[in-house]
Amino acid sequence: MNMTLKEKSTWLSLMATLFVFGSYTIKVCSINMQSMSEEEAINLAMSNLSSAILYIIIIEIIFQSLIAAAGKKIEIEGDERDRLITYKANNSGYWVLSVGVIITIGQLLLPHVIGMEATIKSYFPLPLFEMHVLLFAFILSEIVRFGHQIVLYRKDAV
Amino acid sequence: MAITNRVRECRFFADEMTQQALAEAVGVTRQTIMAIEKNKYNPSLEVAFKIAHLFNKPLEEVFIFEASE
Repeated sequence: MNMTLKEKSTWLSLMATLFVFGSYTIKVCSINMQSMSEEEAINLAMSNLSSAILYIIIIEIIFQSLIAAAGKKIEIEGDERDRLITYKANNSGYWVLSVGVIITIGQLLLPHVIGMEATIKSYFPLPLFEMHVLLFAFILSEIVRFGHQIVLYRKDAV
Repeated sequence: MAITNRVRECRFFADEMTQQALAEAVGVTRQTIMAIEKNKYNPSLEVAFKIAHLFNKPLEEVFIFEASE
């Protein structure tokens, strides 16, 4: 397959994000809030999050270094087309993140503003709910960003 | 696309210069040259001028703007 170094690097980041944070999401969503105290659930979620962050850092450092070692300077830095693709993809990721932030603000404000008690939190009980909505929005925005980058690279490829 | 180009033709008449050699000469990746030749990407003015300069041709001979109605 005819790929630039930047595209390979984007594929790696996408796969690492899907694998590491996908696994984290499954673990957190399967925490049974009824079978343990809130404190225990938070500790379990934080322990999983620390591991996920550590794994993603290690994977990115090792594999991105290996990819970069095989490339030339212009390929590592990226050219104007790489930058244009990055800008476009960042824009898509930004919109997803914005939606996540708006949902979180709504979740925090609605009960106080209109006295609405039945918020999203009651349907999806998660430890540190607001933090997780933001975190999932961030993860989703990263997946959209990497995915859009790959689509743009493939559209211009052979 | 309103802008087309003759980069492939210019490479042919420059002793079949490779895409890699052209890419290195103008400071972009080979995939960018490929995208330019397929009219899927319009390079910046700087890269367009560099390409035209490399082939000793005026810019409008390498990159052609077709105004649409």
